[in-house]
Amino acid sequence: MLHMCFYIDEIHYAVPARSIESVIPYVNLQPSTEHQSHQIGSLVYKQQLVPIFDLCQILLARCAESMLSTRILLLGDESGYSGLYGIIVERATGMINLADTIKDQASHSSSSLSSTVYGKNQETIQLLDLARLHKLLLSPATSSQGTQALPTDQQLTDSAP
Amino acid sequence: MKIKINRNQLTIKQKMLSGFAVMLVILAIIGVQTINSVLGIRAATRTVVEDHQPALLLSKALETRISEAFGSMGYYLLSKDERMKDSSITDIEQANKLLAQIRSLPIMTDFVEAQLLLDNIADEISQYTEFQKQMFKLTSSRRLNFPAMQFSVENLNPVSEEIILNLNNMLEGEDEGNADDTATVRDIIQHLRYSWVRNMSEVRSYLGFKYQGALNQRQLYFQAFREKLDELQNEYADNLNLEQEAGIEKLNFLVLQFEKNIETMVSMHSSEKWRTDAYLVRDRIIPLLNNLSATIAKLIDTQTGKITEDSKNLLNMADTTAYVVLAMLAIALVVILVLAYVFISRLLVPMTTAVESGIRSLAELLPDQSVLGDLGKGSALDQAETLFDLMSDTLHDTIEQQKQANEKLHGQVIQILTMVSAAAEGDMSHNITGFDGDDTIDHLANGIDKMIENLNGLVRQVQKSGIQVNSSATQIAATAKQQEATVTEQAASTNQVMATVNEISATSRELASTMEDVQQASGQAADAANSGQQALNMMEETMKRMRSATESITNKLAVLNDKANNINNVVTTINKVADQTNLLSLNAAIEAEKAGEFGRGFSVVATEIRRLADQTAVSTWDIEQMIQEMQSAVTAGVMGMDKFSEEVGSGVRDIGQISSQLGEIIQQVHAMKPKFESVAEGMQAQALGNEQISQSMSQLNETAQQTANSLRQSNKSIDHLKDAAQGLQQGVTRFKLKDAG
Repeated sequence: MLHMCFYIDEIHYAVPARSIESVIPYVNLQPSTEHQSHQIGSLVYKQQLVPIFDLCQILLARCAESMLSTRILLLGDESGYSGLYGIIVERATGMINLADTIKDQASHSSSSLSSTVYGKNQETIQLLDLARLHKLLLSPATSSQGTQALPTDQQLTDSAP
Repeated sequence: MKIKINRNQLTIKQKMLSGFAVMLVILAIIGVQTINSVLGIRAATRTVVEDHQPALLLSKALETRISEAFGSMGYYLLSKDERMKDSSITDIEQANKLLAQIRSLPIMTDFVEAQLLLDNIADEISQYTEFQKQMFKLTSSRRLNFPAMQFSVENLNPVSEEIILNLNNMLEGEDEGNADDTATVRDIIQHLRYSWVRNMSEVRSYLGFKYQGALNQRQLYFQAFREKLDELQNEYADNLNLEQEAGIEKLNFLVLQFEKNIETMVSMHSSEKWRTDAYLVRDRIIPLLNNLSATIAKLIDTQTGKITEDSKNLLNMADTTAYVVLAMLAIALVVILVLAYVFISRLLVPMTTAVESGIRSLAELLPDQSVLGDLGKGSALDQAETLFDLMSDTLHDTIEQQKQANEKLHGQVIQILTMVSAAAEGDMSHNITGFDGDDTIDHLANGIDKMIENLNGLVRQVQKSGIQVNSSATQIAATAKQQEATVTEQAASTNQVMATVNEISATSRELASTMEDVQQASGQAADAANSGQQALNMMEETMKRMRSATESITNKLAVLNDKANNINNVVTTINKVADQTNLLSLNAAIEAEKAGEFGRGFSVVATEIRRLADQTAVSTWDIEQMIQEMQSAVTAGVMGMDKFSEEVGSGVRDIGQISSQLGEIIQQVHAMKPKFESVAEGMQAQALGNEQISQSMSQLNETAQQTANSLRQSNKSIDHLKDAAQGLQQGVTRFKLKDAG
């Protein structure tokens, strides 16, 4: 099955391609007013307000670097939850087929957000656990919707870091 | 015509001289023969000591040097100690020098056998020197020393690297077909890579340690590689992509090539020449050294044989000399005995007869013939003794008679002599008396008395004239002394003046010469200054052109910088496009994945687009780096050119200033030139005048010298005259004269 690859620091992650609604460039977002939440902002995608979360902020406690390869993955349909949400990840430039890799269910992942570890070419790839991520990001305790000015579709296509 | 000598006609002296001459001839023959033999022995000894022995010693030293050279080289090969290397080279140089010394010995000129051996030795030393250089080179390079290693570096490593690269490319290729089969294919390729790496590892192990087990192990890994390769191309041919198929084809070719090369490498590494230095030492250098030692030993044997032969000849010559001298002495003894017999028979007997005859002749002269009867008794010598006694008595009587007559004559002579002595002492006042006879002595006494009377008158006249001459001479001498002193003072003054004039003249000449040099130097300085100013003008023009060229380069660099900025903008744009393309391909792949089987083709397109975008990003990153480097270089160039332009401007100003100063110097030098000429002419005229004065003073000095010499001569003559007058006066004064009346 085809997976989208990205990195958080030096850890290689993968997300099933079927779970991704779209990949869009990293745009400047208005800061969120929700201090208790991981949400850093929102954007409008196909007339829908989408909350955006910085995975670097969550896992490494730092902002994602402002580079061309830093992108926003809009996740939705295949995750089993209604509604879209976005995560900001670094070095999101490739796809991989994990079917021919070695699957290691027993090994424990280094991150609390990954469930399965794959090995390929002497490198490990951690499969992001979308259910756990959704629960972490969009649970009632932490989720909220921002009311600040949001970027438009035109901004999404033109803007660059 | 044959000359016949009658022995009886020879005198005793001639006969004795003849006898001694014969003995001397015999002694001379013996001496010459002995000296000749001794000289021969000396020459032979000298040949042995001065020629053969040094040659032998040099040959021994040569043998030692060669041995030490090889020993030093061995130590160097073991220890890599540079001192041992230098020692080995020095030993060979010393060996060559020894060889040259042996060749230069005079004995070697005609010693053909030794010359041939020396030629062989020189040739072998030359070969050894070449081997020595080769060994030093091999020691410094491990690759050169191990041909198989060199061969592996040139022929095995490139092929192996290409195989590994090919395998990596096969692994990176996109997957096609069944996912499980694709994974198996990748597994096999991984296995191939592992086998090949192990194969190469064992090859290196074999090269490093020459361990046969490593070679066997390599064979196993290579076999595994071949089996996996066969499995890949036979069982999974349908699951291979295009890159992998091409890779397998290439692998087959490369593996064949590798196997061929490995066979060559193994044959090289297992042969006798697997290590070049060991091979050279064992198969080339040691046999060469053995030959060399044998040749030197043969040379030494030849020289020893020559010495032995010469020693034998020397002993033979000594023996021959001893025999010849003994023979000569025997002959001389016989000849001396013969001569003694001849001396007795031919010399003593006639001499005795002659003595007896002489005695009889003398006896007949004696006044008393009665004594002759006694002569017949005794030998010839007794007869001669008796005869001589008789003759002695007769002579004694005759002498006594003569003595009495002489005493009378002596008394008369004493009287005359007394008077003559008194006259000689100046006393001419005596007269001789008592000689009234008619003998010769009486005539003599009377004549002397008359002569003394005449002398009395003459001396009186001389006394008067002497006083007058002495007075005049004293006056002339005083005058001449005064003149001489004056002339001497004049000559001294003239000498002093002349020395001063000579000094002035020499100084003038030096000054004139110096002024000529100064004049010439000033001309050269003017010429040099002229050419210097021209060169400075040219340099100034060049500097100006350089400044304009520098400004032009600076402008062009600025343009280049602008262009680089433009390129940078273009690169940024390309980068953005690549990023957008990558994003597009990702979304396309996601959509294709969602479409399932229907999106398979679209997925491939998305992958290709993503790859192109990635390559574009990498290339643009490289371009960006290059542009940045170029911009840095251009910025540094602009700064450097600015600085250079400033320095060139400063140089132009300095050159202008120097040119102006040089112009002033040239004008001053030109203005000085006529002054120098004028001074030089004046100095030359002054030198000429000084020389004329010097010549005049020299003539004056000569004249004064001549005058002084003349006066000195006159003084001497006057002194002589005065001495003569005084002597005459004194001589005359001591005469005691008879009374004038």
